Amino acid sequence: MEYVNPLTGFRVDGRRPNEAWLTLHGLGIAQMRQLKGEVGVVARADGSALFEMGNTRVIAAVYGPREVQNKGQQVNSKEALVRCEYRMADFSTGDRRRKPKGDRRSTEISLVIRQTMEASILTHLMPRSQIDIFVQVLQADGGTRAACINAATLALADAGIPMRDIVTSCSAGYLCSTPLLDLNYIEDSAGGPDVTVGILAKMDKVTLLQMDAKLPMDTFETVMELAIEGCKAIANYIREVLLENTKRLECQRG
Amino acid sequence: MRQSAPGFQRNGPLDSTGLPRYPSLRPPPPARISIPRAAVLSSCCFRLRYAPAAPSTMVGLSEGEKHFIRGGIAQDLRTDGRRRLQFRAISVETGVILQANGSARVRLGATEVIATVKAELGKPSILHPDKGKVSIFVDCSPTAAPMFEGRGSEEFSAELSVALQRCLLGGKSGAGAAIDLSSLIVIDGKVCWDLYIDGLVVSSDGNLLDALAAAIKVALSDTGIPKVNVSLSATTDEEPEVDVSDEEFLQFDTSSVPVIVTLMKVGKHYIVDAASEEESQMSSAVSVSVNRHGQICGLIKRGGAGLDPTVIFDMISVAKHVSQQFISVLDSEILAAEAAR
Repeated sequence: MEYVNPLTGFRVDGRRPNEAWLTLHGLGIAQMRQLKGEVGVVARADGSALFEMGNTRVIAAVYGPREVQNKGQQVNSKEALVRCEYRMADFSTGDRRRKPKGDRRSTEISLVIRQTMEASILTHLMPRSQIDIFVQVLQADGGTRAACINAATLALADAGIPMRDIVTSCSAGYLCSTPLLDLNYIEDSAGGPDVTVGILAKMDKVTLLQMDAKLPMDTFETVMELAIEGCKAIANYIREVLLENTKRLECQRG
Repeated sequence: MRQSAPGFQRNGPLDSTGLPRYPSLRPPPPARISIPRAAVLSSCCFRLRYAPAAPSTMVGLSEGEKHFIRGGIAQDLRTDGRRRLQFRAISVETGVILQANGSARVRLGATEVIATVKAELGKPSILHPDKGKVSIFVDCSPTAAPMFEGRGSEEFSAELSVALQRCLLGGKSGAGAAIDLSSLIVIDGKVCWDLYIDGLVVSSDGNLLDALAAAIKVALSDTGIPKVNVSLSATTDEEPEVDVSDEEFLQFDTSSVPVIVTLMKVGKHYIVDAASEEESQMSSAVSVSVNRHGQICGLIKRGGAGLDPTVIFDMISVAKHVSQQFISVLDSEILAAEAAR
């Protein structure tokens, strides 16, 4: 299957891989799927957000900081305990199947999200407390990991939890000798390499880096650079959403 | 180091609570009232059989707050300004999940649920070769409440699934179902549509059952089943060839799908559409599923306290009355949601 049309240069969903690589620096989110972020979608949570990357759609809710519920889990009483659970809705994938809760994939992604968010939360400011991050995938179309991290960032910011920096994540791949940003499900399951990068946007530090399949060193550099550019574009968007939300709150306060 | 070592041994290592880790060195636990084993056992069974409508542990209310809620209900003015038989504002959205054949999001105040319908071709059961299959599964997302984390939601999800199944799908034979199961058949005894109805609780503020039933009703009205062309081969033993159309869709007749109205008894009065604070104060609840013609399609009584039969009949007639208003509100919301798409 042609993932990049040799004649038109379009990707399977009509995005342009090559031109946008140039415009990305100037215009921002050209090559990425459409982003949508919404804050405060779960009324009773302390912080919540909806994040969409094209057809991938996730909801994140944050409860806390609150008292540690299970004292046995508290490792260090000087720092907040961060917990995370990732769950996929039964209807989120194309073919419906009921998966048992806590399968290996979910556990792994929960762990990845937890570690990534823990890196940016100022845990030492909230000793003896617990922060729960729950991520629910409503629609999965590739890049759920990245979308979950972005949603979690928004939700944590909505909950007013002190953070070092905004963490954003984006995936990139390499198919038909073209580096591609933000893979969708079809491109993701094509068998090519899938690089997921998470960065602390302002500090310009990589907190998450995952790759499957092999890739020559120089190509990897290009792909990773592309993913980092994607992360920065998302960070800009997330900042906009948060600013918009703050303005709205200020308006409401009068 | 040397000096501290013996002391360390004597007291034992300290855990995070600052108490010695060895149980024998801990201060004795507070005196406990001993309960006979039989009593413990029976209270456990009681809890399992009559699980409360919503896990009441998640709302921590003071005595004053409880009194305020109960007093308000007695005076027909609830904490959010509603009357006893008044629903919260409902908002309906259709086609929210793209992969499904039909989907809906229903918001009742701060309660938010998503229902999806997926149709898959399957084989009808041997007992009912002329009927399709419908199944309902509900999942409570931990985003709704931290207590739904991990396996914490399983019991409650199962309770909701079974209640919905009972109210919407009728008995095992398929009689009394909200959807005409024979309309799901493609070829008698060979191919039929399996409908998978999935409910997801995204945000929970009480009255999940009514919200889920409403969401399923809306999702079913949004559902399009692809038209199927069957080319029967000459030999009947062979698998029939089924051609699923991408363009033509058939809609269901959803006019007979009931809604569920839950009446919760708080004190002497009962209320509809209880928020989770109110739900924690209920003594018992009756969920009645009523269709457009005012027929009762299912009934569930929950909660520990017993009810007088006359009270139950009274509650049913009130539920019937309220449900007709609810159905008409829901219908106009469905029309508005379809127009907005």
